[in-house]
Amino acid sequence: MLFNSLVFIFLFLPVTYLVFWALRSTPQRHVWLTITGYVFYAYWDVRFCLLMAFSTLVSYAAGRAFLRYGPRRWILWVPVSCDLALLGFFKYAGFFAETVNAVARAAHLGPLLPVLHVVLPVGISFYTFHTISYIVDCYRGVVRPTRSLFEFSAYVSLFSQLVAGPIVRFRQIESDLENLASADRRAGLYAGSSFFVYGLVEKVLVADSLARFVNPWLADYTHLSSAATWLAMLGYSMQLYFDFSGYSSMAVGLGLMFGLRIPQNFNSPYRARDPSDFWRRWHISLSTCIRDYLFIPLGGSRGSKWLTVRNIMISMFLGGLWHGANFTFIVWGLYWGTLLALYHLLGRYWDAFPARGVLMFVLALCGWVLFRATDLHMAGGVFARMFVPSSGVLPADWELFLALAVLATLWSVFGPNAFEFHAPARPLVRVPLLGFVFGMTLAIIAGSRASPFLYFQF
Amino acid sequence: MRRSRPRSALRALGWLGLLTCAVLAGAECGARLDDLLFEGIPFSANPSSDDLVTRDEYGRHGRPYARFQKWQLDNLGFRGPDVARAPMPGVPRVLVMGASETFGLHEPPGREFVAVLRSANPDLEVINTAVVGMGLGSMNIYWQRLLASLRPAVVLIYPTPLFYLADEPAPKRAAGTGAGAPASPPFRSRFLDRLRGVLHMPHFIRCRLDERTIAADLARAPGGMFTAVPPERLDDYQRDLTQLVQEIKDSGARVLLVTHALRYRGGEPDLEERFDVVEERVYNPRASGRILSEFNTAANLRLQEVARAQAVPVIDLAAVLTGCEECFGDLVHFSELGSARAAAVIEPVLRAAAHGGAGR
Repeated sequence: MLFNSLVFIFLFLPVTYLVFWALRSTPQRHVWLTITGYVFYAYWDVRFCLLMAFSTLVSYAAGRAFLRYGPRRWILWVPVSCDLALLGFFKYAGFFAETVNAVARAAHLGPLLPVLHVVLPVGISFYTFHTISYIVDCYRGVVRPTRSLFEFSAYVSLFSQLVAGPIVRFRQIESDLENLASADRRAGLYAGSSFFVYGLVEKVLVADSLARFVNPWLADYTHLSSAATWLAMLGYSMQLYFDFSGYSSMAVGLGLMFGLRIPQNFNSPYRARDPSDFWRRWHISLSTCIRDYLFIPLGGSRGSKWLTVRNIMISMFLGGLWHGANFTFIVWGLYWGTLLALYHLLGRYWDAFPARGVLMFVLALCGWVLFRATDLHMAGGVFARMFVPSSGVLPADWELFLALAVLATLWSVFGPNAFEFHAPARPLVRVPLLGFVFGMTLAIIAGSRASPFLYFQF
Repeated sequence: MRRSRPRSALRALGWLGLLTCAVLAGAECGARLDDLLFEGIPFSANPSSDDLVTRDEYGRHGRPYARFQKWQLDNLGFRGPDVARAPMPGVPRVLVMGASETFGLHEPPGREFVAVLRSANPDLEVINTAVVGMGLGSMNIYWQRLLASLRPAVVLIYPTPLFYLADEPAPKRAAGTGAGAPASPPFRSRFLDRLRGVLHMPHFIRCRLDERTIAADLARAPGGMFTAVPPERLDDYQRDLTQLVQEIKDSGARVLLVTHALRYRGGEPDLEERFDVVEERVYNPRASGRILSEFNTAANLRLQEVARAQAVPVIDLAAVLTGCEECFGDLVHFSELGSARAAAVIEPVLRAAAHGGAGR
């Protein structure tokens, strides 16, 4: 079920909302949020609810074990290994087998491993991150393990952040979860609806409009001219940002409607002036997780410069791999690792460069080539068209695409993001304004142009 | 307290009303802006399926350059790219005549069987001249007044026999494109049109509504339900088809006839309850599902008789597609798969005819 679908907006959300606020106690609301989370997930594929339930139970049991036995290593590693095994099997087993077989074929050994074509459960990367972060935080003593199974399952299966994040850590919404009974419905609806509509606009009006050009253009990238390839990649950069930022804004809005404060996930990343700044603004919940659960345990930047570079490269390599089982994501992670390492080593030269904001934008755009490409061959082809002048075609309607891409770029850099945007406070202006904009997005959704979120694939 | 409760309820209703108005206004503007930007439809226009058809000295035919939703007509009012009046030298011109099945309804643009034939045969000029709701009687006029002047080498006819079961001589089949529907009102909500496109009423409700319409129409019909295939209607069908084939042959063009396919074979036990059968009966209330099927079969036999008498080839599409449920989007209109299969069946015979292999 998509946030930008009629069934979600007109059936799932109203029913979930009305029942939630009709219930009085916090435990009742935990149960209800758990049920709705599973219904939301089952709408995609009911079989994988069992997987999520298993991951939830294992992590909850680990929390209870920490309460009973204290911070023991085996209590940390058993459930984390379970979660990683699930993720590894469903997300990486096929990729691993194919890679081994390709190497074996190259060495004239023939295929060595059977390739399993397993369906990737939607959102598995996100909810396993939720559960792992909970276990690690319990082990570190950062959070006190919850005794309530439904509080924990409500956290894991919370529909607003279940399938595409943000990666909310338990400690970030723990107090809200414990005080659901005293949440302010009116204030939550007031702020939440604004975030939700803002996210809908980002997703439906901007990202999906750009997708109408980007997808067919890049599907036929071998025929594009250099200018068209740059335009297509500019469009994709904006599509990806507004798509994921839109999802995150909607998640924040939905959280607020149910009394839960979900943290900011995007802070106008295209305003970044250096690679480090970019990752403080892009997918903040992921970059902070990578920092806290990977980079810092590896030693962070406490050692020598070269140790720091090693830690950056390892973190970004795994961050890239987290996005998908494909060499393009690995190379994308290493690309960012290299940029971050270079900035770490040569930061003072970078900071002296006057147009570093523009340079950062172009570097990010080049990174999206790797992110968007289906394989390294395509990535190479797109790069070749971008940097070697080629006389392909500029497809029809390029003027409209250019106008949309430029407007989106201006918005992403100079416009307010969801947390900076303040809807008019006067209800007589606010209600019709939000209603009007919401109606505009409905028209696009009803026109069947709304598409799934790009981050669902991870 | 007693006074404040109704007042607060009124206030809440007021806010709800304001919000609803704002949402509807935004939705309408959004739909129109989207159409303007991506389809080129003027913001203030009220397009409807009626825009696709016009009636003038040539009779009822497609309106040049008309467009509605996925349907787009060319300079002469045909579905497809622009065509010149005179055929291109060395490129045999093929006209495909028919009704909504030929025009294309459920297929994505460019996937209707005529478009598939066109793209697969660049050495032929294949033109989709079908008009939604056009029976054989109207096709005669259409041919005489408009199509004959295009000097085709081959004319392929895919007639719709079921029109002859309706009580009007040239029944108006809405069938999705809504041709023949009453004139469009001055304002037509494009947002509601979009909603209608995605919110499908459950079949059992639509069936009940259709059955009520059928019952009401049947009550007004003088003869009541057909108990058997009406032979006089078959005679009408055969007469009109013979006349059309003769006219076309007289012009020097080759004719190809195609038998009419249905989704079901007719022997299914629950035929009368099938949703698309009930939907079709809205246009033919006097015919049960069994009669629809039997009439179609009998009409195809008559078509073969006409073909023999006129010495024109027949493509027995009904033999290939009838009973292939996934080949149809409803009882008579092809799905994308059905169109592809129809094109595959038609193509060799059409090529032979266009290059002189099939006789007149």
